[in-house]
Amino acid sequence: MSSHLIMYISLLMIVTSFIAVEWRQLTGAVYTYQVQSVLIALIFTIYAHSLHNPALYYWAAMALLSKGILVPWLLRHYVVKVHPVETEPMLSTSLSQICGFALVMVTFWWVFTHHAQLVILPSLAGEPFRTNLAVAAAILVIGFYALLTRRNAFKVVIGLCLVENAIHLSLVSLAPSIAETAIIGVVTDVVISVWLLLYIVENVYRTTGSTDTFNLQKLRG
Amino acid sequence: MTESTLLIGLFSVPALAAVLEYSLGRKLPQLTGKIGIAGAAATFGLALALLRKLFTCGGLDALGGQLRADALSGLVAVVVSFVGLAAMLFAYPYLWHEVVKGKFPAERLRNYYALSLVFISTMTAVTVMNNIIMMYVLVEATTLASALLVTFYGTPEALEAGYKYLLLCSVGIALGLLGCVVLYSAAVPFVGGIKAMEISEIAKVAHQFPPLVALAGGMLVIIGFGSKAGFVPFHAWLPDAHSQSPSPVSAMLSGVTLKVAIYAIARIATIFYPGHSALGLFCVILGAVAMLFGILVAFHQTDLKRMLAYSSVSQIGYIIMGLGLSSYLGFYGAVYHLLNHALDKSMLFLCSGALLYACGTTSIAELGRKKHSSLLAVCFFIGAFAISGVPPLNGFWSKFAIYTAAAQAHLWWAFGIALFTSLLTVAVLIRAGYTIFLQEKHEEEPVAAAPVRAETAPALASIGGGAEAFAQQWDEFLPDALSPNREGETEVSVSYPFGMIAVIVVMAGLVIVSGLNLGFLHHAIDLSVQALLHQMAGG
Repeated sequence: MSSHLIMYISLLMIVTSFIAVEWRQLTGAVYTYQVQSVLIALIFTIYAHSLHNPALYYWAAMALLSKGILVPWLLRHYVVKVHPVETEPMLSTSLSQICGFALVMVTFWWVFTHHAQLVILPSLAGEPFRTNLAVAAAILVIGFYALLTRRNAFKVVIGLCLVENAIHLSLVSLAPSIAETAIIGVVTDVVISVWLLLYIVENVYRTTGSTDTFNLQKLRG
Repeated sequence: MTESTLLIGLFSVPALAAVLEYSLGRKLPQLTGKIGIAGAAATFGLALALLRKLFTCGGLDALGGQLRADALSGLVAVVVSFVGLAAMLFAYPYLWHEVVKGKFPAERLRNYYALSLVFISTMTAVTVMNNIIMMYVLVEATTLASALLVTFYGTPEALEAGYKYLLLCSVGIALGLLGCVVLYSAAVPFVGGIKAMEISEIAKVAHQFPPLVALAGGMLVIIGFGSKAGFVPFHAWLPDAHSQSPSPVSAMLSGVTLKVAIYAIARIATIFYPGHSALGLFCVILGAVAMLFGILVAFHQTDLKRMLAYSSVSQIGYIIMGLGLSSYLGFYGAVYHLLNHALDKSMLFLCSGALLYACGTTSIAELGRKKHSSLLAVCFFIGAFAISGVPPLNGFWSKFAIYTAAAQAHLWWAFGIALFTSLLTVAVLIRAGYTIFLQEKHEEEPVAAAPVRAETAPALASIGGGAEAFAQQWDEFLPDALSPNREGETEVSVSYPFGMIAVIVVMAGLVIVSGLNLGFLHHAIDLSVQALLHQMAGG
């Protein structure tokens, strides 16, 4: 039962990260990101239940609070305040979708088939860790893809958030026994860095009138 | 003072001072900056006390092993807090001048000092942190604390620099987190649970790790923390952030933030050197690429601060190469160069700040058309010669140790690149120094920066009476009682506040002193290297 549920949610997480990158309406992209973060909290709960690891309930709560509520709230606040439509990205929409899809498929397939070599501990081999790590790798790649190809500063920030989500997700199969204090520290860092980035982006918009990172090329050489 | 209070105080004192600075700053504006200086001075005192204590006992623990200090931590903490204090002292008259010129309102001063203190606090915390995940958290926290300092002026360029800085360092360090997590989870079966997060525990079991895991974890840590240290493919943020932030912040960024990231690498990655010589070689290659690339790009720079920043990229290459050589001599050179670069480069950045103060520009060509204080010129040349590795100054000895270590390891290409880079560094920095200070001045009129005193008084009076008296003590430093408008003046055309010049001169003095092969200094570096080797051998 839970293995099916994990499969569906994992698939949904990949789809949401794909949409968050491709959706040109920024508020929509932020909502999609929020859905993904809630899914992460949900999947942590399922893992906690099926793996009998009560610490993961705590993670679920932390993920919901920081990534499901705080970060999307910050993103929406600044997006609405500044400029809600994405700057034309570097690739055309259809080409970008094809590239993104191909990257995701290759990454997922590679991690899924090579999981046995990547496993660190024997206790973390097999399912559900295999799916989990493959999904995390796919989201990580989408995040980096967004960081590299998007011109809009908000999209870049969403890309960073996806990278952070992927790393958070991968902790289940890498370090399920990590201490709570460390998780609190990591999550606080993420929230503050997103907040500061958005604050700077808002100021950039105020001084240059645009959120296009291509305009940020005064400093060179 | 007990051991644990010393370790905890090292980062909680500046954090507390930051809170005081920010909360009292609104009500008592005359205290703005003084709390900052006091906090930084107290931190420096604590760091010195810590280092002294570490001379007698090998290491200190606190909070059940979460905090841990050995000689290397003590040395880096002293360097961090010293440069922090120097930057604070320099900032006091420097920022007042900018307030008077109307670059930003006086109310924002307390933000500056409070953020600087938080910045110092996060950096000193890294030096005593023994928890591998918290190490990531704190190194990222140094980025967060300094991001708003980089964008302090709020100009489009400063915002661009801040954006790049925050984004590149956050993404890079996320890879570092991945590396830390991989290493932690590999240690879990041997040490178990919470203990596996302690770096000193990981060092004990590192030789039992599966080779692929150790290699991948080590690489991720080097790349991740390396992005914060300005290793070459990830260096793009560095020149922008250094050139756009206020000069005291550039001094801290280049002088110590890079070193803190290097410290994290030295702490974590060296653990895996014995079983994986590839990691060491990877560091040597990274170092060689960084030093050559940095200095070649520095050649083309027209802006003094950007040039110094690229030179930092290049000098960081020496430190990481020394670390990668993983012999006693290599580590000795790396630790010594870390210290020297912190001192030399932060002094040079403060010099560039003084030039900016007097002439309102950092463009090398424009500075060359103006006349400058000869005292400043002497200090600049001392710093430039020292960092280029001209004997008998401090940079020569540390680089010499690294050359010798490279030769001992039979890495002749690394030896060649290091030596060649050193020659180029002399050319780059001395050319800049020559253009700015020695080239014949074509402009007849005496220069910029009118005396501030006349304008300062009303501005100060409007903010708080107490500040006036204090600022006047710091006001003008007139070495030969010169004033800009007196006729027949050839040498000094600008008078600097005493505080600024004093900081630079003291640092220049220390540059000379630290090259004298003092027993104390050698002992401190020797102990740090022993600590690294001890950790490498399994703690």
